[in-house]
Amino acid sequence: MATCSQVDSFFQAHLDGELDPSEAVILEEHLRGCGRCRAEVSSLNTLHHEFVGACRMHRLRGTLEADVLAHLPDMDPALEHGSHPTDPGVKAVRFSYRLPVSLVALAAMLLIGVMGVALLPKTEPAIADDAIGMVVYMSGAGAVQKDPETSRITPIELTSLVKRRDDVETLGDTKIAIALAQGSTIKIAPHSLVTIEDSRTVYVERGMAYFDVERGQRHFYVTTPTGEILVYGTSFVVSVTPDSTTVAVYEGNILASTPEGMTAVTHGKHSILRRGQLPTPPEDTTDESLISWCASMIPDKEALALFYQTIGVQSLSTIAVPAEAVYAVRNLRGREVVGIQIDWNFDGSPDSHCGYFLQVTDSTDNLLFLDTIHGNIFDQSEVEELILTPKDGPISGVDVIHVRLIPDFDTGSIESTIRVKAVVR
Amino acid sequence: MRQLSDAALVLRCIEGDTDAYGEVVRRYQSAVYATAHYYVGRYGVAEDVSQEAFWAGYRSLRRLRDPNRLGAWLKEITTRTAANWLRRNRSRLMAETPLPHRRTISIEDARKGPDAQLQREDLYARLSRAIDTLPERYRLPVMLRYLQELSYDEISAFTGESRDEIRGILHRAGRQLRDVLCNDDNEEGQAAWPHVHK
Repeated sequence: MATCSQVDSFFQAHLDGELDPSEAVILEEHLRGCGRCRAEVSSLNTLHHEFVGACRMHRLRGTLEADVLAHLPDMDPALEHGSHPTDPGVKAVRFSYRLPVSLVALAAMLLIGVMGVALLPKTEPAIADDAIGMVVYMSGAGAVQKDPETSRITPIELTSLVKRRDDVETLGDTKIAIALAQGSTIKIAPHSLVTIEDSRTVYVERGMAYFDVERGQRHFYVTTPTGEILVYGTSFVVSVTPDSTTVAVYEGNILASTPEGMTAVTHGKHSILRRGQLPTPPEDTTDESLISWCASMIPDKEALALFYQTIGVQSLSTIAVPAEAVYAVRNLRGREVVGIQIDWNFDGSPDSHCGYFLQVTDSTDNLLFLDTIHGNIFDQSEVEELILTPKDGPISGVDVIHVRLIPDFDTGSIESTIRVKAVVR
Repeated sequence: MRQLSDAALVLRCIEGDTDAYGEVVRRYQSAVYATAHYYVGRYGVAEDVSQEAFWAGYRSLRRLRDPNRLGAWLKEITTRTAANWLRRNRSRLMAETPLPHRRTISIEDARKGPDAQLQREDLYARLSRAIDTLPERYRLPVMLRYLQELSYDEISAFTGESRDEIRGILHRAGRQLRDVLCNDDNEEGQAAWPHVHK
């Protein structure tokens, strides 16, 4: 049996309901045989309940959310582009930098608009303001969508609009493809149920879906009952059963996670996500059936033109620039890594920004540490040196540090070079 | 849908998704409110300060360097917002005559009678004074734990301390609070929470 001094540090956590199960067993066993500790716990328990009771009337009642959101201010425009608030000249320079981008976007919108008008059906359907996608391919006639606000179920047909939080269900042997604002496409297999949360988030309840996510677009999330997939621009298939999610990657890479942990899955590999378990280590994908079902799903040209004319033009402000990659391999001789240091060297262009996606793995590609920052947060006014510290303490077995730079979202350019090194004990 | 990480929420907010900021408010409102209450609560403006802190956080969200430390960042903003409020209202507060007890009685306490109400107010006042005697590092975790009953993980996310550190802090703080309150009681001749000597 544990001694009194050994269990003494368990008392407060016991009262707070925060003891680990193994500690709870030890404490319970000790208390059965120790009257003094029982009295001590009882005394602390009385105090604890008195404290909580005394504080109750001062507690937050209700929620602050509605009041906060009702008067939400604009994000500071000076900070939006990373400029220094005391430097009025930066804004003007920035404008000249962005002007060509705006003109190109405008010209492209006009061009696509003209093409769209030429290809339009004779009767132009009404377009809902809140539409974020359109059905651009359909085979079979057994698909329905459910409006989350009215719970109204309507049959899906070619050029049907999809709104935020719409449920889409494919019945029988029906397959459909949905083009989303911001340039991504989802192809949904028969017998699937998918919720389009917004143009960057999709929930797959069951069945199978193929995702072609526009590279250069901001993060895209796919969630399932058993895991979450974070995407930076790639194509992959998600197959969902009640117990597991299989994600197979055909281009680029994705990050697959369960509440227990995460793994990076690269081109040609797949991982399985199960409840209560780590994602399985990535393995080669040999099951052709995962991809073959969607090979013949070519979007209808007229539907696609209508999509570009009505919804897809929203994506033209996103500039797709392939991110660069830096690999640094270090011989650490078994020493533990306490942090990853990034030294920045901005290129001096006005208002430079850069973000990064960093992965630290061991020699067998197991993910040890992951960190990312958005492409328009970190700017030249920040410190030149950044040290990232793993949340769970030092990591051992480090073999590869992989950093991908994320371009400034406004200019589409990589505006800094970096040097990366592991900080060891 | 599974709960998004803080970093994912921050990215969405920056991309213009105000619903994501609603989730940030729901996730951290208890901690922000308890922090505001710790500084200004006695003057009944903790909710106002909490709202101001969330607005200030939204305005400067693009400044957040590490989105995984959203909680600790909100804590700093709340502290600054509360300090600014106290500075703005310093003259009024100095002229204010403190009331011995709240002038209103909540329905819950009214059912138990005015004595229970007064006892609780008295205990709360004594507890507040006892918390002020704790080391600075202990005070906020104690407020977060007792005022809003946050879990160790939630306190850890908000203060930036590890879960084990929070557990140690609350362990030591609990003992110190009892000692302070027992001494008060002994002086008044009523030991409510006897210390068991080993």
